[in-house]
Parts: sequence; C-alpha cells; structure tokens
Amino acid sequence: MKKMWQAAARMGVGAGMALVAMAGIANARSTTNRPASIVVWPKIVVDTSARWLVWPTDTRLMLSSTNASGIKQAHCFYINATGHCSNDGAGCRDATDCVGGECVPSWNETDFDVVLTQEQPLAWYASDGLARGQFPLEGPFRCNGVFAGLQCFSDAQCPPGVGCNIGQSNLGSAIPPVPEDPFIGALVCIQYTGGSDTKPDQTTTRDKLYGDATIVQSAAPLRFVDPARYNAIGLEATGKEVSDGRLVLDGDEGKYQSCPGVLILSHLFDGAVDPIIPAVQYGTELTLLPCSNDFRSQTPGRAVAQFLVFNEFEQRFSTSRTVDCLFDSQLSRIDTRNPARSIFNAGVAGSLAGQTRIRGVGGKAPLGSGLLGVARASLGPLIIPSSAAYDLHQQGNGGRDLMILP
Amino acid sequence: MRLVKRSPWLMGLGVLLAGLVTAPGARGDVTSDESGTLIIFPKVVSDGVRDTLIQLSNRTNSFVQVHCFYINASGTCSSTGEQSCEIDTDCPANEVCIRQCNATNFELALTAQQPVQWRVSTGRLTTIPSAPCRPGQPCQCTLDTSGQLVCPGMLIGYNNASFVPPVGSQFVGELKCYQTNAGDPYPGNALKGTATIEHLGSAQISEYNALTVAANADPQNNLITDKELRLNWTGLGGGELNYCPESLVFTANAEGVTDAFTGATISTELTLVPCSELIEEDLPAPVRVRFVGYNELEQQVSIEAFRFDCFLNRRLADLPVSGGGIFVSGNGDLWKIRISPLPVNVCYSGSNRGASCTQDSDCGDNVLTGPADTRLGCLPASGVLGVAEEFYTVPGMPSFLDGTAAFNLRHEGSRSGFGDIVTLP
Repeated sequence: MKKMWQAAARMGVGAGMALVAMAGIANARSTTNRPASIVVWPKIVVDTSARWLVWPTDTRLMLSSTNASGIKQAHCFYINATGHCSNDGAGCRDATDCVGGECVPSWNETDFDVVLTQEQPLAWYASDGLARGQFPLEGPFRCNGVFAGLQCFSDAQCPPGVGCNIGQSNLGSAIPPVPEDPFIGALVCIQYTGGSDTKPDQTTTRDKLYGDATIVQSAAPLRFVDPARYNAIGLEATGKEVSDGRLVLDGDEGKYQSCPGVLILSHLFDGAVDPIIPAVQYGTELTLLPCSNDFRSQTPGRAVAQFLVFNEFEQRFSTSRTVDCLFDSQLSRIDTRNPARSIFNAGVAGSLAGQTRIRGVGGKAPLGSGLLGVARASLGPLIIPSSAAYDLHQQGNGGRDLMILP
Repeated sequence: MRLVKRSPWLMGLGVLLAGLVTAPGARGDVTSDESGTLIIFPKVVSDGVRDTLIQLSNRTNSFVQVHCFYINASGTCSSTGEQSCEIDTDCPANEVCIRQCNATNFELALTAQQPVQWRVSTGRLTTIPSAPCRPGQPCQCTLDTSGQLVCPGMLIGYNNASFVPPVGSQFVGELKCYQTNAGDPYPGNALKGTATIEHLGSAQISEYNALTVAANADPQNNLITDKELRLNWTGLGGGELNYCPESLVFTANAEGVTDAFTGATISTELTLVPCSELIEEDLPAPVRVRFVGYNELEQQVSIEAFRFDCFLNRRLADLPVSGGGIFVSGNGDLWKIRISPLPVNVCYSGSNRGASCTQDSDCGDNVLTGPADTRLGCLPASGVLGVAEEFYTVPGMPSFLDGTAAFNLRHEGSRSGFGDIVTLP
C-alpha cells in the first residue's frame, strides 16, 4: 500500500506541467451559484389529482431579483412536455400512463412576463400561477398585497402596516398556471430591461435573476409533506446586444455563456440499500433538458445524451438516449425496460455509489446539443415518501446553442 | 494492487491531456456545481436523530489523494457547561458560548473517476477490494465487529488504516477535504461531492452539493509546500485558491408561514461556516456578518453585526436571537436574504481573540503565527459559506415526520485583499 502512495507521489512533475497549462483557461458556463440573465428550471411536475404519481404533487417556483436599484423584467416560457394518450387524450409521460393506448409526445410553450422590483422575491405554485390582483406590489397608487383594490396616495390611506405603493411595482406581470394538470415540463426566463424599450438585458445590470423550485408531494389523509428543492440553472449574459431574437449561447463568442460540455451526476445506484436505514433502497430520477429551443417555430431542442457510468471499482459502463424536448426517467429505466438488468442497478453495477458523466451530441442545426439537468433521489418502499432534489455538476464548455425567441 | 503497476509518468501525461481538455475555471468563484481542490460540506449531522451520507468523487482520470478533517462544532456555555449553544445570547447572562471546533483528520484516495460514499456516524473501513454486489441480491454495506461499515467497492486508505473514522452520534459540524500529493496540498481540482442528511426515524432526506474551491495551478505559488491554504485568487495572476464570495444570497419562506398546497408550516435552518480555518492552531475562526432581508413587498430589515465562531446552524426564527427572529411570517411571506462578511478586522489569536482591531498589537499577548509565518493577529473577519434546509411541519403531526429539503445558497462577487486562510497540521 505504501508503494502505491509513493508511486502516486511521483506523478507530481508531469501533473504539475499539466496544471500550468490549465491555469489560463477561462470558465464561462452555466451556474447554479450565481444570479444570471437566463434562468432555467429543468423540472416542473404538477399532478394534483395523483393521476400519474402515487401522491398529489405540485411545484413551487421562486424567482428573485438581486438588482439593487430599479425593476427587472423576465420574459418566461413554460415548456410543456406532457404527452397525450392516443386513445383518450389524457396527459401522459410514457405508455404506462395510457391504458391500452400509446403516449404521443407533444411540445408547446406558453410565454408570460414578470416584472420584479428591486431585490424582490416572488413565489407561486405552478398549478396556480399568479393572476392580476395576486401580486404583492400590484401597481402605482394601489395599496400593497391583497389590498390592491384600494387606490391611495399615501400609506395613511391603506390599512395599517400595508403601505401604499407609490414607487416600483409588478405592473405588467401575469403568471398563468401550467396549461394542464397533470403536467411535466420546464420553465425558462430571460432577463429583459423592462420599461418602454424592452429587450434582452445586456446592460451593466444584467445577470440579476435567480430561481428555485420545490417539488412538493403531500396527501391529506396521511398528513405528510415531502419537499425536494433545487436551484434553477443560470446562464450569464456577455453584454453583447441581442437585436434579432436569437440568443446565442457560446461563451464570449455569443450573447450568453455556454451550456456545460459534460454534466456529472453523483448518485447511489438504483436498488442500493440505504447505508443509514437498511430497510429502504435508493432510486434516482434524472431530468435532462436541451439548452436550445426554437420558440419562434415551436421546435424543441433535441440531442443524444451519452452516459458514461463509473462504479466504485473504477469500472465503466455506457449507454445513450435521445433527449427530445425533455427527458425524465428513473436511472435504471434509461437503458432497459427491466430495471433489474440496467447498468444503473446496484446489482449490475456492483457497488452502491456511482458517478455518471452525460454529454449531449448530435443536435440539429442551427440548434445545438447542450443539455441541462437536475436529479431527484428517493428512498423506498416507505409509507411516507422521502425524496431530495439536487443540481448536477458540470465540466467544460459545450458547443454553440441557440434559443430563438418569437 | 492494480495501481502499483502503473507508470507514474504515464499517469502524469494523462493528467496533462485531461487537464487541457477539462480544466476548471480561472474565474475566482466558490461553486457547488464544479470540482475543486478544497471541498467543503458545511452541514454534517450525526446527532442520534439524523445521520449524514457523504458522497465524494474524483472528476478526473488520474489517481487522487485526499486529506479530510471533520470539525466538531458542538458548543457549550462557558459556565453552564452542559447547556448547548450556538451564540453567546443562547447562554445565561455573563456567559459566552464556547465551541470545540476540534478537527479529526483522515486520508483516503480515489482512483480515476471513482465515487465513494460513507455514513458519517459509522465511518467506513478500507476494503481493497471487497466483493461486488451481484444481480438479484441486495447491494448493501454491513457493520463489522468494530461498528464501522464495510461496503462493496475498492476503497483505499493510507497504511490500511480505517478509511473514514466514525464520528459517533453527538456530532454537528462540517467536513473539509483538500487534494494532496505526497502529503502536501495539490492543485488538481478533482474533487466534488454531495451530502444527504437523513432522519433515522422517518427516512426523510435532504441533499445538497458540497462547495468547492478551485486552486491556481501555477507552481510559482506556495500552495503546495507552505501548509497554509490562502483563498486569495481571482482566477488570474497570483494567489492560491479562489476567493470566497463577497456575499451569500438565498430566498426563504418566511419563518412560520403556512404553505398553500400542503397546509404545512415552513421553517428554514441556515448553516454557515467560515472560509478561514485555523486547524493547526486549533482555534475557531471569528466571523462577523451582516444580514439584509427583502420581502416581496420591497420592505427591508437587517441584522447589522452578527458574530459567531467556527459554525452556525440556526433557524431563521432564532436570528438574531433565540425566539426573536425578524425573517418571520407576518413581515412578509418570502424573504430574500443577503449575508455579507463585515469589512472589519478581528483578532484571530492572542489574548484578545475575537475582538475588533486595527493592528496586531490590539490582539494582546500570545498572537500566533501560521505555518508559513503569516501573523494570525489582526486580520479581516472571515468570509462565509453555507447551506440552508427547509422543514415542513404538518400541524398536529410529530416533528420527526417533518418533510425536509436542503439547498445551496447563491454567491455574489468575490472578496479581495487578504482573503481567507486555512492553516494545516
């Protein structure tokens, strides 16, 4: 064993040379740590009647501005990736949701605007949205909050502690509910300057938005709540004006930073017995969303996700799947319909922990092949569900991606 | 023993090629979605009620050595020694909160792209290799006679020692690891990880990504040899590791607010750890921060000079003082909270440790010096990093059934000047 460590120590010179070469390479890609100008929530699930899922489920979305002075506008697109059954038209994710029919994939978007005041946080449930009259700062010369129906010119004219809005407001905002229930899809918001000359924000106060999502399962009879929260992904702007509605994601060569070259998922393999409570086992859902989308012609992004899976024995497995609009799957159903035979099954992989590298390839021009994603681990079987969402890691810059606005 | 047969020069060449293709950034940020040389798990819990599962991975195609230390941050009041505390105001009048903040070290190694996991209460024993799981059979760890876990996988500990030591069931604190080569810090930027906190009764889990700090690979800096890790790099030019953020920001539900979909009451627990760490001197790093909150009505509240040592793990209902929270329901349903280290200097050691200062002489006697001769006297108050966790409580239900969800905080800007320091044993 000691020789092994000594051998590793002798790597130093060669590795040092490598690291000198690494030092000057710039990092410019998506982030879950910093505010940005494009914010992407890759996974939104609504199933309030538990038609797909075991328990009623909704997603609470948060959008916040870090701008210290002045409003910022977000132009947003719900991406509806819900399929529909060929026999009865009901919403579906795959054929297992259709009794006797096929699940026909579909894709459409619903766009809307949100105006955020300085430093303002907003939150809404995807199934509800926020209609006019529900925004906290409805408009100038209106009392705040639920008293927006009262006109005012000073705080004294509003109920105590409510205040009269004589400054910035959410005027111009309306967030619709997701277009159907059950629903699976994503949300993309792009920072605009707001005001009369509204366009994608490439000013010195760009990159002021960030978002969060909490997928919540709950059931009244059992009186439980299972929340799973993740950070929405940000893409920072480069400061180059967008005049043609084409948002080029290509680092310093483009209008926004690149999507990652590789996504890296840390996970326990499906079926791995929980090292903390051996009565339950791990399972992980992976959601992938193409970086590119043509909202003008209603053409979703498409790419092939290549998976490279490593176990604790340094062994490597691989598979691939097409990501068309949105991909959402249990890990052990990515490569087979029989999860027990999957390379993501702990019995096949041979160890509990895994690391999966995901690379998008084969995008259809002019759209690219970049991917974004999020994971959700769960434990089962349990009477009360238990899950946790978390962001993927990333490495390197991807190729050129493109969002085309209407 | 497959690794012994490998040519270290070929492995070095592999690092060169891998590095050219996969280099992490030259931007001075702490991140939770990229790999780094220093990795920080700010919230590790093994208190008999909850336990934590750590996943640590090597992102590169090279063999990687890692040095880790758990920092036990349990605190007790200075006179009433059995009373646990987070900050001084948790203790009776005229008492202060004293945190142990002692470090437990261990080392491990990761082969190319290797992931490993361990349960912190039990640790995990070295197994090179243990038998793999088989299809159709349970894939699980077992407890050996010492009470430590033995799991399927190839796990490498130094001198066949315990791979990861157990922390027992009275631990709340953090885990920091850094990449090494022959015992010295090494700027390979290979480490990434996640932590899953699990309730032992309900199996409710929260998961967050560990924070990583990328290192400057330029051999002209002193990262490798001087036993001091300096977080003073902008991503360009000189410096050792990326600066900590200028501020942290996150959006929380107001403490005690009722969730519209579930009817549950939501509470948020914030965990903060200092970027600076005096491991060699076994002293807690002093932190001074300012909280500013904005609700959805554009109203602003603040906590101007909040101080703690080493570690903070506190519900918003108890900020700034126990039961006297300001980020609560009634002041708004949502709070966007910004946490910024105060631009003041404090004494890191000396008889006036923790006091504000303008020069080293203000710190009194016995001011210490770091391993690389950095005077640990009057220095900028430490930067901070953190994570948050939400608890959803259904009225009338026992707390062990609380739904939980952890999330990473956002970062704004970068510190400048001296930055932060971690002294190594």
